[in-house]
Amino acid sequence: MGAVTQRLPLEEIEAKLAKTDRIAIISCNTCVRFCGTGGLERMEELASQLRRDGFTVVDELLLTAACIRDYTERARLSKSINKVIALTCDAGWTSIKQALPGVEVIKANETLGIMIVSPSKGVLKLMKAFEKYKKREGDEFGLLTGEPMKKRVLNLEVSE
Amino acid sequence: MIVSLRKISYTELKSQLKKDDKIVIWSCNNCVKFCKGLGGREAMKSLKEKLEKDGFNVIHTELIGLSCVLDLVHLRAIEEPTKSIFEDATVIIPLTCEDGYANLKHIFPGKRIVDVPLTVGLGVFSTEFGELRLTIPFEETGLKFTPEGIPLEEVAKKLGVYAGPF
Repeated sequence: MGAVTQRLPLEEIEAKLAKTDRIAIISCNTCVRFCGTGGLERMEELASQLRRDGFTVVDELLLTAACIRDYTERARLSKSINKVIALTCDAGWTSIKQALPGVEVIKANETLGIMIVSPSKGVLKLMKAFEKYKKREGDEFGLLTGEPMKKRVLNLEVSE
Repeated sequence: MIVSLRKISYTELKSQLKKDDKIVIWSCNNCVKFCKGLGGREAMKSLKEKLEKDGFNVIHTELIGLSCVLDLVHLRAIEEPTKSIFEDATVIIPLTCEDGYANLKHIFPGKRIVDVPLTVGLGVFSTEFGELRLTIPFEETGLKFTPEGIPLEEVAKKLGVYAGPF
């Protein structure tokens, strides 16, 4: 499936924006939606929060997967934008940076590693993590919410 | 998208198989297909033909949308027509990422699951490159973040492993 992501605090995102910026938000409808960190609802929620705080969100774009660069290249974004918020994993963020070289691309999520998913148990599990999150390998999160699970429900070996 | 390579060569794969093994080749139709064709329908078909030519008994190929979705793997074990096939199989060759490998080991504990995949990070696919390129490597690879992406042949060479199909 892909990457496990967690939301960055709104203040951290807003600190990288200016009130004069014309902002686009790009998100995916796959991994980040499963993690509760992206998808349509989360994107609209972030856009509303930013507008409420006085920022100008010009475009909101939902892609199947931003890590397929062809999708980001074909995005019909307003020519006036100068910043893009990547409500994606880090691969989506790099893809948007490649596709839109003249625009500053800001991360809205942090990427922990890769996951397996169990819809029947309503859970996703961090199987192999980046160094910063190595101690969290095996951690489980609620599907579509990203809420850390109090108790592990999937008894799977994680990578070594 | 998850970027995966192969830990073993075709010769090494053959050394882990016996002539009386009942082999299932398993793959997803997603990330691994983009990893220079490590997985997907074509990769399964060509591996099946190679193994059969070398006298091995491939009883089935199973293509699944996403092997990292545990429930989809589990369905193959509990529902016909695949249930009987997997009961009969002695070995599964996963053309997947490490998540798929982990799920197969969990769902089919009595079967030998060949340790094929090495997942090296996340990447970007573009038809301009014609392939998936590694942009966010796991630190254990020793590779650095590369915004433009590293071609998988180059990654495989640096790590002493293999890119693409068997």
